[in-house]
Amino acid sequence: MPIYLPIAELSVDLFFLLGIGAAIGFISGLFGVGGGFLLTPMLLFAGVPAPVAVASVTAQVVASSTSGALSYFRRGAMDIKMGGYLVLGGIFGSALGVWIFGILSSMGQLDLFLSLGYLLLLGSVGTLMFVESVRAVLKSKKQMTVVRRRQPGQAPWVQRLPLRTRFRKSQLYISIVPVILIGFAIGIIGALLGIGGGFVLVPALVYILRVPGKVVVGTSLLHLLAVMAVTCFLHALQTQSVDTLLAFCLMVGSVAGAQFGASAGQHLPGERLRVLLALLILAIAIRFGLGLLIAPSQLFTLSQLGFGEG
Amino acid sequence: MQNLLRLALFLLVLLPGCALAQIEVVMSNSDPVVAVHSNFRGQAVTLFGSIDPPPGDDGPYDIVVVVQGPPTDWVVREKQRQFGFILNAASVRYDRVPGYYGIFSSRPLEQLGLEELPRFDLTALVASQRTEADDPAFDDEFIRLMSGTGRFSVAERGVAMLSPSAFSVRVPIASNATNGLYLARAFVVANGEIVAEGTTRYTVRTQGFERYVADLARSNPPVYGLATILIALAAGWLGGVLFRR
Repeated sequence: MPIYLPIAELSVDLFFLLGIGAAIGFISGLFGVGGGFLLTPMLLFAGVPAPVAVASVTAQVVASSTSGALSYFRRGAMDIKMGGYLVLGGIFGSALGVWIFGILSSMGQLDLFLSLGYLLLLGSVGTLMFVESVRAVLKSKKQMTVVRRRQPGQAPWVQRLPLRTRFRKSQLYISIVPVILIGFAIGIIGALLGIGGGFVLVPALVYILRVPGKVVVGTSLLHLLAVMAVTCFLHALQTQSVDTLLAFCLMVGSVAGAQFGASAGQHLPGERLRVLLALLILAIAIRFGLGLLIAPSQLFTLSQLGFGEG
Repeated sequence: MQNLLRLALFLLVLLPGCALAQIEVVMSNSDPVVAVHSNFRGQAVTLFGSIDPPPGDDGPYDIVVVVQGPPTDWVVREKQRQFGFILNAASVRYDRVPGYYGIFSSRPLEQLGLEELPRFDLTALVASQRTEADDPAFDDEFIRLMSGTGRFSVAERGVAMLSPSAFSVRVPIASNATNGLYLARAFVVANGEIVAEGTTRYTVRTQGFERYVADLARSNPPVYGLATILIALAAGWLGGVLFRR
Protein backbone atom coordinates (compact mmCIF):
# COMPACT_ATOMS: atom_id res chain seq x y z
CA MET A 1 0.00 0.00 0.00
CA PRO A 2 1.83 3.13 -1.15
CA ILE A 3 1.76 6.19 1.04
CA TYR A 4 2.83 9.60 -0.18
CA LEU A 5 5.28 11.39 2.10
CA PRO A 6 4.51 15.09 1.62
CA ILE A 7 7.86 16.56 2.68
CA ALA A 8 10.06 13.84 1.20
CA GLU A 9 7.87 14.05 -1.95
CA LEU A 10 8.14 10.33 -2.34
CA SER A 11 5.75 7.40 -2.47
CA VAL A 12 6.80 4.62 -0.13
CA ASP A 13 5.08 1.41 0.83
CA LEU A 14 3.37 1.82 4.21
CA PHE A 15 4.31 -1.68 5.33
CA PHE A 16 7.94 -1.04 4.48
CA LEU A 17 7.95 1.92 6.87
CA LEU A 18 6.08 0.06 9.60
CA GLY A 19 8.40 -2.90 9.02
CA ILE A 20 11.69 -1.07 9.41
CA GLY A 21 10.17 0.86 12.33
CA ALA A 22 9.24 -2.43 14.00
CA ALA A 23 12.56 -4.11 13.20
CA ILE A 24 14.59 -1.25 14.58
CA GLY A 25 12.21 -0.87 17.52
CA PHE A 26 12.75 -4.57 18.25
CA ILE A 27 16.53 -4.16 18.14
CA SER A 28 16.39 -1.07 20.33
CA GLY A 29 14.18 -2.85 22.87
CA LEU A 30 16.42 -5.91 22.78
CA PHE A 31 19.66 -4.06 23.40
CA GLY A 32 18.38 -0.94 25.14
CA VAL A 33 19.74 1.35 22.45
CA GLY A 34 17.95 4.31 20.89
CA GLY A 35 17.75 3.09 17.31
CA GLY A 36 18.20 6.45 15.59
CA PHE A 37 21.68 5.45 14.47
CA LEU A 38 20.17 2.47 12.63
CA LEU A 39 16.99 4.14 11.43
CA THR A 40 18.52 7.18 9.71
CA PRO A 41 20.92 5.02 7.62
CA MET A 42 18.04 2.71 6.65
CA LEU A 43 15.98 5.67 5.43
CA LEU A 44 18.98 7.05 3.52
CA PHE A 45 19.53 3.67 1.85
CA ALA A 46 15.81 3.53 0.99
CA GLY A 47 16.15 6.75 -0.98
CA VAL A 48 14.63 9.24 1.46
CA PRO A 49 16.38 12.61 0.94
CA ALA A 50 19.06 13.17 3.60
CA PRO A 51 17.54 16.31 5.23
CA VAL A 52 14.15 14.61 5.55
CA ALA A 53 15.63 11.39 6.96
CA VAL A 54 17.66 13.19 9.62
CA ALA A 55 14.95 15.65 10.63
CA SER A 56 12.14 13.09 10.75
CA VAL A 57 14.08 10.59 12.82
CA THR A 58 14.41 13.23 15.56
CA ALA A 59 10.62 13.05 15.99
CA GLN A 60 10.78 9.26 16.03
CA VAL A 61 13.45 9.35 18.77
CA VAL A 62 11.17 11.58 20.87
CA ALA A 63 8.43 8.95 20.61
CA SER A 64 10.68 5.99 21.31
CA SER A 65 12.30 7.59 24.38
CA THR A 66 9.06 8.88 25.93
CA SER A 67 7.78 5.69 27.51
CA GLY A 68 11.24 4.74 28.78
CA ALA A 69 11.84 8.18 30.25
CA LEU A 70 8.43 8.08 31.97
CA SER A 71 9.02 4.73 33.59
CA TYR A 72 12.52 5.71 34.83
CA PHE A 73 11.03 8.94 36.15
CA ARG A 74 8.32 7.07 38.09
CA ARG A 75 10.93 4.80 39.63
CA GLY A 76 13.01 7.82 40.56
CA ALA A 77 15.96 6.48 38.57
CA MET A 78 16.68 9.85 36.99
CA ASP A 79 18.95 12.71 38.05
CA ILE A 80 16.74 15.64 37.07
CA LYS A 81 19.29 18.28 38.07
CA MET A 82 22.06 16.75 36.01
CA GLY A 83 19.58 16.12 33.19
CA GLY A 84 18.70 19.81 33.27
CA TYR A 85 22.32 20.88 32.80
CA LEU A 86 22.79 18.27 30.05
CA VAL A 87 19.69 19.53 28.27
CA LEU A 88 20.85 23.14 28.62
CA GLY A 89 24.08 22.27 26.82
CA GLY A 90 22.17 20.04 24.43
CA ILE A 91 19.85 22.84 23.30
CA PHE A 92 22.79 25.06 22.34
CA GLY A 93 24.49 22.11 20.64
CA SER A 94 21.32 21.30 18.76
CA ALA A 95 20.92 24.90 17.58
CA LEU A 96 24.52 24.91 16.34
CA GLY A 97 24.02 21.50 14.71
CA VAL A 98 20.89 22.57 12.85
CA TRP A 99 22.67 25.73 11.68
CA ILE A 100 25.65 23.74 10.34
CA PHE A 101 23.17 21.29 8.80
CA GLY A 102 21.57 24.12 6.82
CA ILE A 103 24.95 25.32 5.55
CA LEU A 104 26.02 21.82 4.50
CA SER A 105 22.69 21.32 2.79
CA SER A 106 22.92 24.52 0.75
CA MET A 107 26.51 23.65 -0.19
CA GLY A 108 25.30 20.28 -1.46
CA GLN A 109 27.72 18.47 0.83
CA LEU A 110 25.21 17.00 3.26
CA ASP A 111 25.43 13.50 1.79
CA LEU A 112 29.19 13.55 1.99
CA PHE A 113 29.10 14.76 5.59
CA LEU A 114 26.53 12.14 6.64
CA SER A 115 28.52 9.36 4.98
CA LEU A 116 31.74 10.44 6.69
CA GLY A 117 30.01 11.03 10.03
CA TYR A 118 28.28 7.67 10.05
CA LEU A 119 31.39 5.90 8.81
CA LEU A 120 33.43 7.30 11.70
CA LEU A 121 30.74 6.98 14.35
CA LEU A 122 29.39 3.53 13.45
CA GLY A 123 32.83 2.24 12.49
CA SER A 124 34.33 3.08 15.87
CA VAL A 125 31.29 2.11 17.94
CA GLY A 126 30.86 -1.11 15.98
CA THR A 127 34.50 -2.07 16.38
CA LEU A 128 34.53 -1.36 20.12
CA MET A 129 31.27 -3.23 20.60
CA PHE A 130 32.47 -6.18 18.54
CA VAL A 131 35.75 -6.53 20.45
CA GLU A 132 34.03 -6.13 23.80
CA SER A 133 31.20 -8.57 23.09
CA VAL A 134 33.48 -11.22 21.58
CA ARG A 135 35.64 -10.96 24.67
CA ALA A 136 32.56 -11.32 26.88
CA VAL A 137 31.36 -14.38 24.96
CA LEU A 138 34.79 -16.00 25.24
CA LYS A 139 34.88 -15.29 28.96
CA SER A 140 31.46 -16.76 29.56
CA LYS A 141 32.54 -19.87 27.64
CA LYS A 142 35.42 -20.28 30.05
CA GLN A 143 32.90 -20.06 32.87
CA MET A 144 34.63 -17.05 34.26
CA THR A 145 32.52 -14.55 36.04
CA VAL A 146 33.03 -11.07 34.73
CA VAL A 147 34.57 -9.16 37.59
CA ARG A 148 33.75 -5.49 37.53
CA ARG A 149 36.74 -3.44 38.45
CA ARG A 150 35.96 -0.82 40.99
CA GLN A 151 35.75 2.36 39.05
CA PRO A 152 38.26 5.04 39.95
CA GLY A 153 37.24 8.65 40.39
CA GLN A 154 36.85 11.15 37.60
CA ALA A 155 39.70 12.16 35.39
CA PRO A 156 41.82 14.84 37.08
CA TRP A 157 40.82 17.56 34.63
CA VAL A 158 37.17 17.07 35.51
CA GLN A 159 37.90 17.64 39.19
CA ARG A 160 39.86 20.81 38.63
CA LEU A 161 37.03 22.64 36.86
CA PRO A 162 35.19 25.50 38.61
CA LEU A 163 31.44 25.89 39.31
CA ARG A 164 31.12 22.70 41.29
CA THR A 165 27.70 21.74 42.46
CA ARG A 166 26.14 18.79 44.23
CA PHE A 167 24.12 16.25 42.23
CA ARG A 168 22.26 14.46 45.01
CA LYS A 169 20.74 11.63 42.95
CA SER A 170 24.10 10.77 41.39
CA GLN A 171 25.97 11.32 44.67
CA LEU A 172 28.46 13.50 42.87
CA TYR A 173 30.01 16.84 43.67
CA ILE A 174 31.36 18.01 40.33
CA SER A 175 31.61 21.02 38.09
CA ILE A 176 28.68 21.77 35.79
CA VAL A 177 31.12 22.61 32.96
CA PRO A 178 31.77 19.04 31.75
CA VAL A 179 28.08 18.20 32.14
CA ILE A 180 27.05 21.09 29.88
CA LEU A 181 29.88 20.32 27.44
CA ILE A 182 28.84 16.68 27.12
CA GLY A 183 25.22 17.72 26.52
CA PHE A 184 26.43 20.27 23.98
CA ALA A 185 28.52 17.75 22.03
CA ILE A 186 25.74 15.14 21.94
CA GLY A 187 23.31 17.87 20.86
CA ILE A 188 25.47 18.76 17.85
CA ILE A 189 25.94 15.12 16.82
CA GLY A 190 22.23 14.41 17.24
CA ALA A 191 21.06 17.36 15.15
CA LEU A 192 23.56 16.65 12.38
CA LEU A 193 23.26 12.89 12.08
CA GLY A 194 19.67 12.29 13.17
CA ILE A 195 20.46 10.15 16.19
CA GLY A 196 19.57 10.44 19.86
CA GLY A 197 23.15 9.69 20.76
CA GLY A 198 22.34 7.53 23.78
CA PHE A 199 25.05 5.05 22.85
CA VAL A 200 27.60 7.86 23.09
CA LEU A 201 26.02 9.70 26.01
CA VAL A 202 25.76 6.76 28.40
CA PRO A 203 29.46 5.81 28.16
CA ALA A 204 30.38 9.50 28.47
CA LEU A 205 28.36 9.88 31.66
CA VAL A 206 29.73 6.65 33.08
CA TYR A 207 33.41 7.00 32.18
CA ILE A 208 33.93 10.76 32.34
CA LEU A 209 31.56 11.85 35.10
CA ARG A 210 31.19 8.52 36.95
CA VAL A 211 27.43 8.77 37.10
CA PRO A 212 26.20 5.64 38.91
CA GLY A 213 24.56 2.94 36.81
CA LYS A 214 21.17 3.15 38.46
CA VAL A 215 20.44 6.70 37.26
CA VAL A 216 22.54 6.89 34.08
CA VAL A 217 19.99 5.40 31.67
CA GLY A 218 17.10 7.47 33.02
CA THR A 219 19.14 10.68 32.90
CA SER A 220 20.32 9.94 29.39
CA LEU A 221 16.71 9.28 28.28
CA LEU A 222 15.67 12.64 29.75
CA HIS A 223 18.39 14.31 27.66
CA LEU A 224 17.38 12.43 24.50
CA LEU A 225 13.72 13.27 24.92
CA ALA A 226 14.18 16.98 25.58
CA VAL A 227 17.04 17.67 23.17
CA MET A 228 15.51 15.65 20.33
CA ALA A 229 12.20 17.50 20.79
CA VAL A 230 14.06 20.82 20.56
CA THR A 231 16.04 19.55 17.55
CA CYS A 232 12.86 18.44 15.82
CA PHE A 233 11.37 21.89 16.41
CA LEU A 234 14.48 23.66 15.11
CA HIS A 235 14.60 21.43 12.03
CA ALA A 236 10.92 22.22 11.39
CA LEU A 237 11.75 25.93 11.67
CA GLN A 238 14.98 26.10 9.74
CA THR A 239 15.31 23.27 7.25
CA GLN A 240 11.54 22.56 7.06
CA SER A 241 12.32 18.95 6.34
CA VAL A 242 10.50 17.17 9.17
CA ASP A 243 8.11 14.73 7.54
CA THR A 244 5.46 14.09 10.18
CA LEU A 245 3.81 11.34 8.18
CA LEU A 246 7.11 9.49 7.78
CA ALA A 247 7.95 9.97 11.46
CA PHE A 248 4.50 8.79 12.52
CA CYS A 249 4.73 5.54 10.53
CA LEU A 250 8.15 4.87 12.02
CA MET A 251 6.90 5.66 15.53
CA VAL A 252 3.99 3.25 15.29
CA GLY A 253 6.28 0.48 14.11
CA SER A 254 9.06 1.13 16.59
CA VAL A 255 6.91 1.70 19.68
CA ALA A 256 5.31 -1.71 19.11
CA GLY A 257 8.56 -3.40 18.11
CA ALA A 258 10.42 -2.08 21.15
CA GLN A 259 8.02 -3.78 23.56
CA PHE A 260 8.51 -7.17 21.89
CA GLY A 261 12.23 -6.59 21.72
CA ALA A 262 12.41 -5.84 25.42
CA SER A 263 10.49 -8.99 26.39
CA ALA A 264 12.41 -11.13 23.89
CA GLY A 265 15.65 -9.82 25.38
CA GLN A 266 14.89 -11.60 28.65
CA HIS A 267 14.92 -15.02 26.98
CA LEU A 268 17.76 -14.60 24.51
CA PRO A 269 21.51 -14.87 25.10
CA GLY A 270 22.31 -11.17 25.27
CA GLU A 271 26.09 -11.33 24.90
CA ARG A 272 25.95 -13.34 21.70
CA LEU A 273 23.30 -11.08 20.24
CA ARG A 274 25.56 -8.12 20.94
CA VAL A 275 28.07 -9.65 18.53
CA LEU A 276 25.36 -9.64 15.88
CA LEU A 277 24.43 -6.04 16.62
CA ALA A 278 28.10 -5.07 16.37
CA LEU A 279 28.31 -6.83 12.98
CA LEU A 280 25.16 -5.04 11.80
CA ILE A 281 26.60 -1.67 12.83
CA LEU A 282 29.88 -2.47 11.08
CA ALA A 283 28.01 -3.53 7.95
CA ILE A 284 26.20 -0.17 7.84
CA ALA A 285 29.50 1.65 8.38
CA ILE A 286 31.05 -0.29 5.48
CA ARG A 287 28.04 0.53 3.29
CA PHE A 288 28.63 4.24 3.95
CA GLY A 289 32.32 3.77 3.25
CA LEU A 290 31.61 2.11 -0.11
CA GLY A 291 29.24 4.93 -1.01
CA LEU A 292 32.15 7.33 -0.55
CA LEU A 293 34.51 5.33 -2.73
CA ILE A 294 32.43 3.84 -5.53
CA ALA A 295 31.10 6.23 -8.13
CA PRO A 296 27.33 5.86 -8.58
CA SER A 297 25.91 5.17 -12.03
CA GLN A 298 24.13 8.50 -11.90
CA LEU A 299 26.63 11.31 -11.36
CA PHE A 300 24.26 14.22 -11.83
CA THR A 301 21.59 15.14 -9.31
CA LEU A 302 18.87 17.73 -9.46
CA SER A 303 17.42 19.62 -6.52
CA GLN A 304 14.79 22.28 -6.40
CA LEU A 305 15.55 25.36 -4.37
CA GLY A 306 12.87 26.08 -1.81
CA PHE A 307 11.86 29.38 -0.32
CA GLY A 308 14.86 31.38 0.83
CA GLU A 309 17.45 28.84 -0.28
CA GLY A 310 20.53 29.53 -2.31
CA MET B 1 -8.72 44.31 -69.33
CA GLN B 2 -7.33 47.06 -67.16
CA ASN B 3 -9.96 46.34 -64.57
CA LEU B 4 -9.06 42.69 -64.56
CA LEU B 5 -5.40 43.54 -64.03
CA ARG B 6 -6.32 45.86 -61.18
CA LEU B 7 -8.36 43.16 -59.55
CA ALA B 8 -5.55 40.64 -59.90
CA LEU B 9 -3.09 43.11 -58.35
CA PHE B 10 -5.53 43.92 -55.60
CA LEU B 11 -5.99 40.25 -54.78
CA LEU B 12 -2.26 39.60 -54.90
CA VAL B 13 -1.56 42.34 -52.37
CA LEU B 14 -4.52 41.77 -50.13
CA LEU B 15 -5.05 38.04 -49.96
CA PRO B 16 -1.99 36.94 -48.00
CA GLY B 17 -2.64 39.74 -45.52
CA CYS B 18 -6.28 38.74 -45.35
CA ALA B 19 -5.39 35.16 -44.74
CA LEU B 20 -3.04 36.13 -41.88
CA ALA B 21 -5.56 38.42 -40.28
CA GLN B 22 -8.44 36.07 -40.68
CA ILE B 23 -7.06 32.83 -39.28
CA GLU B 24 -7.98 32.48 -35.66
CA VAL B 25 -7.40 29.73 -33.19
CA VAL B 26 -9.66 29.30 -30.20
CA MET B 27 -8.65 27.09 -27.29
CA SER B 28 -10.39 25.65 -24.32
CA ASN B 29 -9.65 22.97 -21.78
CA SER B 30 -11.31 20.12 -19.99
CA ASP B 31 -10.50 21.30 -16.43
CA PRO B 32 -9.89 24.98 -15.64
CA VAL B 33 -8.84 23.91 -12.16
CA VAL B 34 -7.05 20.59 -11.86
CA ALA B 35 -7.06 19.12 -8.35
CA VAL B 36 -4.26 16.62 -8.04
CA HIS B 37 -4.32 14.29 -5.08
CA SER B 38 -0.79 13.63 -4.00
CA ASN B 39 -1.30 9.91 -3.57
CA PHE B 40 -2.42 9.45 -7.16
CA ARG B 41 0.14 8.77 -9.79
CA GLY B 42 -0.85 11.80 -11.79
CA GLN B 43 -3.46 12.69 -14.33
CA ALA B 44 -3.92 14.80 -17.43
CA VAL B 45 -5.74 17.83 -18.67
CA THR B 46 -7.07 17.88 -22.22
CA LEU B 47 -6.89 21.06 -24.26
CA PHE B 48 -9.10 21.61 -27.29
CA GLY B 49 -8.62 24.03 -30.11
CA SER B 50 -10.31 25.06 -33.28
CA ILE B 51 -8.90 26.93 -36.27
CA ASP B 52 -11.14 29.34 -38.08
CA PRO B 53 -11.50 29.30 -41.05
CA PRO B 54 -10.59 25.71 -41.98
CA PRO B 55 -7.57 25.34 -44.26
CA GLY B 56 -8.19 25.70 -47.96
CA ASP B 57 -6.47 23.96 -50.82
CA ASP B 58 -2.94 24.99 -49.82
CA GLY B 59 -2.63 22.07 -47.47
CA PRO B 60 -3.42 21.22 -43.85
CA TYR B 61 -2.25 23.35 -40.94
CA ASP B 62 0.14 22.12 -38.33
CA ILE B 63 -0.25 22.90 -34.66
CA VAL B 64 2.38 23.39 -32.01
CA VAL B 65 1.18 23.71 -28.42
CA VAL B 66 3.55 24.97 -25.71
CA VAL B 67 2.48 24.54 -22.10
CA GLN B 68 4.36 26.46 -19.45
CA GLY B 69 4.07 26.12 -15.67
CA PRO B 70 5.05 28.48 -12.84
CA PRO B 71 8.74 29.38 -12.50
CA THR B 72 11.03 27.34 -10.24
CA ASP B 73 14.72 27.44 -9.29
CA TRP B 74 17.00 24.43 -9.60
CA VAL B 75 20.55 23.29 -8.90
CA VAL B 76 22.26 20.54 -10.87
CA ARG B 77 25.21 18.98 -9.08
CA GLU B 78 27.86 16.70 -10.46
CA LYS B 79 29.65 14.10 -8.36
CA GLN B 80 33.37 13.81 -8.92
CA ARG B 81 36.20 11.98 -7.27
CA GLN B 82 38.22 14.34 -5.13
CA PHE B 83 40.77 13.33 -2.49
CA GLY B 84 39.68 9.76 -3.24
CA PHE B 85 36.08 10.44 -2.22
CA ILE B 86 33.02 10.73 -4.40
CA LEU B 87 31.48 14.09 -3.65
CA ASN B 88 29.34 16.81 -5.17
CA ALA B 89 31.99 18.94 -6.83
CA ALA B 90 30.49 21.15 -9.51
CA SER B 91 27.08 22.75 -9.57
CA VAL B 92 25.10 25.00 -11.88
CA ARG B 93 21.99 26.98 -11.01
CA TYR B 94 18.97 27.47 -13.22
CA ASP B 95 16.68 30.26 -12.09
CA ARG B 96 13.04 30.81 -13.01
CA VAL B 97 12.75 27.72 -15.16
CA PRO B 98 9.12 26.78 -15.82
CA GLY B 99 8.17 24.04 -13.36
CA TYR B 100 6.56 22.37 -16.34
CA TYR B 101 7.41 22.87 -19.99
CA GLY B 102 5.71 20.78 -22.63
CA ILE B 103 6.11 21.04 -26.38
CA PHE B 104 3.44 19.20 -28.34
CA SER B 105 3.16 19.22 -32.08
CA SER B 106 1.05 17.56 -34.73
CA ARG B 107 4.18 16.53 -36.63
CA PRO B 108 7.85 16.40 -35.70
CA LEU B 109 9.07 20.00 -35.46
CA GLU B 110 11.82 19.52 -38.07
CA GLN B 111 9.17 18.71 -40.68
CA LEU B 112 7.32 21.98 -40.10
CA GLY B 113 10.07 24.07 -41.67
CA LEU B 114 10.01 26.59 -38.83
CA GLU B 115 13.07 28.68 -38.27
CA GLU B 116 14.81 28.05 -34.94
CA LEU B 117 12.59 29.42 -32.20
CA PRO B 118 13.71 29.33 -28.55
CA ARG B 119 10.18 28.65 -27.35
CA PHE B 120 10.15 25.35 -29.27
CA ASP B 121 13.60 24.33 -28.13
CA LEU B 122 14.30 23.05 -24.61
CA THR B 123 18.05 23.50 -25.02
CA ALA B 124 17.67 27.18 -25.83
CA LEU B 125 15.14 27.66 -23.04
CA VAL B 126 17.41 26.05 -20.46
CA ALA B 127 20.49 27.89 -21.70
CA SER B 128 18.72 31.22 -21.28
CA GLN B 129 17.90 30.49 -17.62
CA ARG B 130 21.38 29.28 -16.64
CA THR B 131 22.96 31.65 -14.09
CA GLU B 132 26.58 30.66 -14.68
CA ALA B 133 26.76 31.88 -18.25
CA ASP B 134 29.81 30.03 -19.48
CA ASP B 135 29.19 26.38 -18.67
CA PRO B 136 26.68 24.76 -21.03
CA ALA B 137 27.84 21.23 -20.13
CA PHE B 138 25.07 20.83 -17.54
CA ASP B 139 22.19 21.80 -19.83
CA ASP B 140 21.71 18.37 -21.34
CA GLU B 141 21.82 16.73 -17.92
CA PHE B 142 19.34 19.26 -16.58
CA ILE B 143 16.92 18.55 -19.45
CA ARG B 144 17.36 14.81 -18.98
CA LEU B 145 16.70 15.00 -15.21
CA MET B 146 13.69 17.30 -15.67
CA SER B 147 12.28 15.03 -18.38
CA GLY B 148 12.81 12.04 -16.09
CA THR B 149 10.50 13.53 -13.46
CA GLY B 150 7.92 14.55 -16.06
CA ARG B 151 8.60 18.27 -15.73
CA PHE B 152 9.76 18.64 -19.31
CA SER B 153 8.01 16.79 -22.07
CA VAL B 154 8.32 16.86 -25.81
CA ALA B 155 5.69 14.94 -27.77
CA GLU B 156 6.23 15.11 -31.51
CA ARG B 157 2.79 13.80 -32.29
CA GLY B 158 1.16 14.97 -29.08
CA VAL B 159 -1.38 17.15 -30.89
CA ALA B 160 -4.18 15.07 -32.36
CA MET B 161 -5.92 16.58 -35.37
CA LEU B 162 -9.59 15.69 -34.91
CA SER B 163 -10.48 17.31 -38.22
CA PRO B 164 -8.53 19.64 -40.54
CA SER B 165 -9.52 22.52 -38.23
CA ALA B 166 -9.96 20.95 -34.79
CA PHE B 167 -7.28 19.53 -32.53
CA SER B 168 -6.77 18.28 -29.02
CA VAL B 169 -3.75 17.85 -26.73
CA ARG B 170 -3.48 15.72 -23.63
CA VAL B 171 -1.10 17.38 -21.17
CA PRO B 172 0.09 15.07 -18.40
CA ILE B 173 0.20 16.40 -14.84
CA ALA B 174 2.57 14.60 -12.51
CA SER B 175 1.67 14.17 -8.85
CA ASN B 176 4.65 16.37 -7.92
CA ALA B 177 3.51 19.17 -10.26
CA THR B 178 4.22 22.69 -9.11
CA ASN B 179 1.02 24.43 -8.06
CA GLY B 180 -0.04 27.50 -9.94
CA LEU B 181 -1.18 28.87 -13.25
CA TYR B 182 -0.30 26.97 -16.42
CA LEU B 183 -0.37 28.81 -19.71
CA ALA B 184 -0.95 26.89 -22.94
CA ARG B 185 -0.26 28.59 -26.26
CA ALA B 186 -1.26 27.06 -29.58
CA PHE B 187 0.56 28.10 -32.73
CA VAL B 188 -0.90 27.45 -36.15
CA VAL B 189 1.85 26.73 -38.65
CA ALA B 190 1.37 26.95 -42.39
CA ASN B 191 4.21 26.79 -44.92
CA GLY B 192 6.87 27.15 -42.27
CA GLU B 193 5.34 30.24 -40.70
CA ILE B 194 3.25 30.86 -37.63
CA VAL B 195 -0.01 32.27 -38.92
CA ALA B 196 -2.08 32.37 -35.74
CA GLU B 197 -1.74 32.06 -32.00
CA GLY B 198 -4.26 31.29 -29.27
CA THR B 199 -3.99 30.76 -25.52
CA THR B 200 -5.78 29.08 -22.69
CA ARG B 201 -4.84 28.62 -19.06
CA TYR B 202 -5.57 26.28 -16.22
CA THR B 203 -4.68 26.08 -12.57
CA VAL B 204 -3.07 23.06 -10.93
CA ARG B 205 -3.76 22.63 -7.26
CA THR B 206 -2.72 19.55 -5.33
CA GLN B 207 -5.13 18.62 -2.59
CA GLY B 208 -5.60 16.08 0.12
CA PHE B 209 -4.23 15.47 3.59
CA GLU B 210 -0.62 15.16 2.42
CA ARG B 211 -0.86 18.54 0.74
CA TYR B 212 -2.26 20.04 3.92
CA VAL B 213 0.70 18.68 5.87
CA ALA B 214 3.19 20.06 3.33
CA ASP B 215 1.48 23.45 3.28
CA LEU B 216 1.47 23.70 7.05
CA ALA B 217 5.17 22.79 7.18
CA ARG B 218 5.93 25.69 4.83
CA SER B 219 3.42 28.27 6.00
CA ASN B 220 3.56 27.82 9.76
CA PRO B 221 6.71 25.99 10.83
CA PRO B 222 6.37 26.65 14.61
CA VAL B 223 2.89 25.13 14.77
CA TYR B 224 3.99 22.25 12.54
CA GLY B 225 7.03 21.55 14.71
CA LEU B 226 5.05 21.67 17.94
CA ALA B 227 2.33 19.44 16.50
CA THR B 228 4.96 16.90 15.43
CA ILE B 229 6.49 16.87 18.91
CA LEU B 230 3.06 16.44 20.53
CA ILE B 231 2.25 13.54 18.18
CA ALA B 232 5.59 11.94 19.03
CA LEU B 233 5.03 12.34 22.79
CA ALA B 234 1.49 10.99 22.52
CA ALA B 235 2.60 8.00 20.42
CA GLY B 236 5.41 7.20 22.83
CA TRP B 237 3.21 7.52 25.90
CA LEU B 238 0.39 5.51 24.32
CA GLY B 239 2.82 2.78 23.31
CA GLY B 240 4.08 2.55 26.87
CA VAL B 241 0.53 2.31 28.22
CA LEU B 242 -0.73 -0.19 25.63
CA PHE B 243 2.20 -2.56 25.83
CA ARG B 244 3.01 -2.25 29.51
CA ARG B 245 4.07 -5.61 30.77
